[in-house]
Amino acid sequence: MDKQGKLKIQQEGDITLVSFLDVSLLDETSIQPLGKQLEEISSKENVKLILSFKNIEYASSAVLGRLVKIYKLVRANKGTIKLCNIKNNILSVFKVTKLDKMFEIHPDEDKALKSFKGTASGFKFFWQK
Amino acid sequence: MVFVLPEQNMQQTIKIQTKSPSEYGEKIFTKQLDSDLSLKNTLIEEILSILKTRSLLEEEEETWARLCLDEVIVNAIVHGNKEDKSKKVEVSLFVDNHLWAVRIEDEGEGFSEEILPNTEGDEYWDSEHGRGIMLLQDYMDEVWYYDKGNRVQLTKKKKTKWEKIVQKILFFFRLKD
Repeated sequence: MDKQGKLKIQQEGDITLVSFLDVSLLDETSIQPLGKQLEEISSKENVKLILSFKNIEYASSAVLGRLVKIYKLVRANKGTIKLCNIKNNILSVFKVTKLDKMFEIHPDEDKALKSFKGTASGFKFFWQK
Repeated sequence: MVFVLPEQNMQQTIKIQTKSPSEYGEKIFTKQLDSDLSLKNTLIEEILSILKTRSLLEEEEETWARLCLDEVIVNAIVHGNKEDKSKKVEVSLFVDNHLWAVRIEDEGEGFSEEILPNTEGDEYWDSEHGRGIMLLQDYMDEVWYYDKGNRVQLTKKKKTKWEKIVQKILFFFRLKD
């Protein structure tokens, strides 16, 4: 039985940084208990959200669907979402399913934070590890 | 040699075939799984481990093989058997020296092609569903739904040395573009 994952939520000024704890495989089962909490955070008005995929080795199509839902919630509440720390194998899945066109993706948390603070260019970053 | 780019591949839609799929190689096992999502990962790990032992799966392909197996098994449990634990999902693995195939069968009603999301065009881009099908079509060489749509066979050929080189180049450009 897989260990139950948790969300780690940090506040950097007005920016909310969310990452996953105790989980490396994100699938239909492991995203289920985290989905509600993620949706609550995404529904806050004008939220500035960074979702970090540090330690995540795999994300199933159920997770991709959740991400689209989160994106729509953030947009509906006039917020902004950025993703970071996505491993190349997952990034290639994003490319095939066109999620790379939906999300602004940064190599790491620092660059995502800087882009909110206006100290990095607003262009999308793609990288090789 | 003709290369089908993923973008073109994605435009295909899933059809329910009237014929059963071809049978490939040696049957390694047929297992019956209760319709319980917490049981699926052990079976997926077992299949991946067999494929790696038989050199049918490269390390960099593991995510893709896992995605496709996860997709069809979750579909069978959730959409096919509606998570009714009295219903079983039957999973068979076939291999030979140059390919592997899995057959998944659930006890559900199947599906109609009309209910599948249309993955073509701009209206699709923010849909929460349908990405699993895109992934199946992108990675697997053959996705064969048959009977009422409650049975599917996925087939993946082992890559030749040259195909591996081309795949690495395509992978590089995918990440870069």
